[in-house]
Amino acid sequence: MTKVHVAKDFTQFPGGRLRSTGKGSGQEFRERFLVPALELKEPATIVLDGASGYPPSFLDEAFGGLIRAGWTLAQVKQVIKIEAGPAFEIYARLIQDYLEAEEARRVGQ
Amino acid sequence: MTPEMVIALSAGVGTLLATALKEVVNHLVRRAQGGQKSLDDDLGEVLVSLGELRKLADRYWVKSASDLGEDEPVYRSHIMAHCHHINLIIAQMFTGAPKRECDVSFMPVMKAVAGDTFGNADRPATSEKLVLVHQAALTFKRDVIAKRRQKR
Repeated sequence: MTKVHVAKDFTQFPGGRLRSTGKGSGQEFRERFLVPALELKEPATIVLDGASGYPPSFLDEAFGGLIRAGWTLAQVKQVIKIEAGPAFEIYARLIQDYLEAEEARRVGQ
Repeated sequence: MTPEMVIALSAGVGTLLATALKEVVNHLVRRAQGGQKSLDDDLGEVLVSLGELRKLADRYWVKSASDLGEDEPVYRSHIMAHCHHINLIIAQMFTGAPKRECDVSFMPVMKAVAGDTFGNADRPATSEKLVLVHQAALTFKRDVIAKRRQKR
């Protein structure tokens, strides 16, 4: 089980959606941490606490982007777990929201 | 010990107990009032941050990223700072179901203010988005005030 502390292992200041927006983007996070975990089926816990806050555009790109890239919600849930303290729970809920919205879109296609 | 001494001693102990009990009650009342004041202060801070967030959203979304130029990352930082500040205070004010309900109510605000093309270098001006920002913010304002009232 891999544990990824976003603030320590990636950035304390999560940025925008795409790599073109600069360092610490959702796309970069997805490609560096989430996709490898899914490809290797290596369970990973993402610890949200400690960062300066997560723009929803970052979360949508990092996590919703997995479903848009072809993974299913079941596959993502099997491998990726989210850990968040009280002030960061809202970000975990946003992640869940984006994953479910993308899954609904994928299934509806 | 004479009966008079027993009566005097009982009266003294009674007076002491009554005084101590009064102090305990006063302390509990003061603590409860302090807790209520602290919640009111927290609510005030949430509402101030929410107001700032709405003003920042107006300035951010009415212009494209290129029109904002070097101010774009500044607005973005302020927007995220206010969003996270509100999250921190809500986590201090509430636990359990009220906290969860406040989070769920604040999510549409965050999505409207800092979702979609937020931060994209080629983001166009999207002023039509502002109605969503303000509607979501007003709904959240009503919800957080209601949750605060429930804690009285």
